[in-house]
Amino acid sequence: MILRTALAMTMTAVMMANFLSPEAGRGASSAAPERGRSACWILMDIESFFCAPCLQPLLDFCRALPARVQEERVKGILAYGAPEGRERSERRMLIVRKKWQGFKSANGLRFSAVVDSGHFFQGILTAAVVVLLFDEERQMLKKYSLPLRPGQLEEITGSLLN
Amino acid sequence: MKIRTLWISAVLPAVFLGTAFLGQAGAAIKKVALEEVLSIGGLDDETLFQWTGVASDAEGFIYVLDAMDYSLKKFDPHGKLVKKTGRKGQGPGEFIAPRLLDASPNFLYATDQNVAGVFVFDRELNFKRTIPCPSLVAYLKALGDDAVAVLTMGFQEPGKILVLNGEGRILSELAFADKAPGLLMDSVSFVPDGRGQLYLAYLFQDRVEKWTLDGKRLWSKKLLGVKKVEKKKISSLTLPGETCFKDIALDGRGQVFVLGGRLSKSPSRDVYVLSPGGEHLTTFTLPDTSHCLYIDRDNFLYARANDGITLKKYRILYD
Repeated sequence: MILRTALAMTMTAVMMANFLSPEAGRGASSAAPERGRSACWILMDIESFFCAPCLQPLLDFCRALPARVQEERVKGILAYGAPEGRERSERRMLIVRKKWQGFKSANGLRFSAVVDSGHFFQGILTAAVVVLLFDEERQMLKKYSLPLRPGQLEEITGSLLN
Repeated sequence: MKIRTLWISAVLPAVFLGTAFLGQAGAAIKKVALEEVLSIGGLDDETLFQWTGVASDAEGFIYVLDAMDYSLKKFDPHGKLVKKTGRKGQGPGEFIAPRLLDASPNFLYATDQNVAGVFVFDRELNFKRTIPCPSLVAYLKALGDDAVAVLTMGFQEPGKILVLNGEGRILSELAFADKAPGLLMDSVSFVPDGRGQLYLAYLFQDRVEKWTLDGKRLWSKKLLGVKKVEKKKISSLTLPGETCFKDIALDGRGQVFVLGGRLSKSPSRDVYVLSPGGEHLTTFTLPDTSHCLYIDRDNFLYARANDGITLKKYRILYD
């Protein structure tokens, strides 16, 4: 079983190597959380959309969030590498947006996402998916990398469901 | 001997793969160009999101696997979506990570990156069955209505190309890989020529080869001048970091088209054209990067554009 999982991961590596365009890299935009209530931003490396195992933790996380919470408290940020040239950059942005639409619809996700066209989140995206929690109760900003460690999901949902 | 006989008997019915080429091998070409004849999917429609595999049938219908919405789609010869099936899941006809696709006269063969098997659909996209495989499938070619060739890979042993019948029984196998080549170093794309031979393009080695189906290497060619592919550590695994070649296909003249990877001059766009004897005839460049190269029975070439949002169909022009 472990071998099979590892093999699936290595095949993912092959697939990503095969699918990614030369300009592929990583990078991430923003949206303000509602005042007085906790909210979170989900930073997603669009390149990880080629890798099903990389995205499973995101889908598991979203399953724990009721639709209303996803719609009202969650904002996605789609990060991607910066290709050279303005025209290529604009085309890349459209491609990223399109891929998100397909992925969101097929997986029944309810939160909207914006494209990080300025690549502001490049340094923050330390994993395929990163969650930034604006914890209003504790007045803290917290960062989590997916997959979450034990207890972290309860910590985030506890704050968001408050 | 038995395996050899079985392999040949499995491959000979692959009329659609090979016989169309036999009478057409002519003078060596000097130059290849492409003329776009069809484009499916754009940035402002909902047709394709991330296509991974493509195949076509004798009537010109085009079949596409889409990894982003977990679907198999059928387009008419004009590029109009006529049917769609599949959704995310692990039930019959469902996908987690759809990847490879090929067609026999009556069936479509599809793989899921996480499933040790080949899904069989009819041309109306009805799921028929799963052909069990001993391992995950890294590459796939249809050989007929009752046979597929698959590349299987494992940690314990080098990669092998297996011919399976519709029930998953191994009819024959080709052990082409070097002993202990390193993890993923024996990854190949391959294409049978319908005449008992097979071409291989290594993903992480500068090697394109021709083999007989009973295990004899006829030639081996380096095209990129790459001595060694750099490796990188991912978690506890050491994996090759750059691709030499991505896909391989045969045109209607029996010439070998090899799609270069990130280490080619125009990464993921250069296509090296070789004669059946391994002579490098010419190189041309695709208009956009692609992960896949597919040539149909009418000699049209299919490749990717817009990172998999668009499928392009081209007429191949020879000089």
